[in-house]
Amino acid sequence: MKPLSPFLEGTKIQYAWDSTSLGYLKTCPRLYQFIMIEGWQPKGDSVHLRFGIEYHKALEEYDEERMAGMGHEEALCSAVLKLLRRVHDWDVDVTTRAGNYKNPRTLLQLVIDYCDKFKDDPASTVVRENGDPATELSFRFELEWGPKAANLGIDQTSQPYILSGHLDRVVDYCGSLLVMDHKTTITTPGAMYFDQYSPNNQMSLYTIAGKVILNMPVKGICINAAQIMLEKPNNFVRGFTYRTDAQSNEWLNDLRFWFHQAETYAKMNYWPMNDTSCDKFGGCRFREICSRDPSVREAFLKANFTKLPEEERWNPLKPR
Amino acid sequence: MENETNDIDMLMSLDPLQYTHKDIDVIIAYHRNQRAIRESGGGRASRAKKDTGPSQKLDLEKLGLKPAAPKLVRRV
Repeated sequence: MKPLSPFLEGTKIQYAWDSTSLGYLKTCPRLYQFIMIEGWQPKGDSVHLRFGIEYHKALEEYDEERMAGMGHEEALCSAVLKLLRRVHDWDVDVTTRAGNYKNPRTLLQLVIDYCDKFKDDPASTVVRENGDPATELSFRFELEWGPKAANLGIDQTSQPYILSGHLDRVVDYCGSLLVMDHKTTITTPGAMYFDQYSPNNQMSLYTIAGKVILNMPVKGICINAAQIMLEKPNNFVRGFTYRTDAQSNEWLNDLRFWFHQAETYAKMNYWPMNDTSCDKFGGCRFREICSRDPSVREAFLKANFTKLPEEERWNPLKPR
Repeated sequence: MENETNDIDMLMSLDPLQYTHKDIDVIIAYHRNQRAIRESGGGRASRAKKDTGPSQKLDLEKLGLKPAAPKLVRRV
């Protein structure tokens, strides 16, 4: 079944948001335009994206088997088998820096190392009111307000904004309820690494989502950082980031302004460039486009990027 | 060590639908062994300094070169 569009019909006004699309908007409206509005994607498989997806999936499968009553060895065996089947055809160019760190071999080593290290995890999965474990929680909830265009009747209906996303697991860690999130990195996960998560768009949304969908006092996020090493043993560090109710309210209040801004850009059909973001996170993938004269950008986009059809573009309403 | 690598390469190139429980055990054991090697410091050696022998002082005059600027002489 075709997923719903996250945009109001016949407009470029997005009403369903997740942390990824909101992150693009906050980072740079032009980045948001390239990915969310126009659907451009760099040619070739994104090594970072695939590696992250497979790592998450393997750990989820391991957790599921453990919760179903399997022992560590058996659960690991099952997760590794499924992982090998998924990545068998994954061909990575290991001569690139990204491919050298992120390929099926390093992935397998990372999964086995993580599961062995946390086989007796002190973080226990929270049990929901209905008795189900709080894992694999896809969330989607409506806000009390919506795009002005919808309220003015341009779209005929009064459509509220929707926030969506996916929580891997909610855990009880030393008496605190926390959303657990896995991250992979090639840099050292020290204090400076964890500083990036406070303030942080994704972590603030996930804390709020945890509270809303579980109706429990979720305090923040437990970040499971896995540092991929090539010569030394892989390194796993847990960091924590907390949000008070006042901080969560502030984030939601700020969201009004961001959504208003997004709607304004959509109505103007113009998404300005934030040229202070180009060098962040190792450099924006669209920097090679934005650094060109506007008259030739489209040609370079066509040469180096693929324009995805609408149904394949990033969509916060697409079920995971 | 090399034989072990060849075995694991062969195992990992198998049709994934043909894996047996034993194959997976071997793959996991191999990666655990790799971890143990890394933990003991036996992974690929980190960039070691090249042994260039004892360092020698550069004598510009011997090479027929003059220093870019004359030595400062403190005037009292």
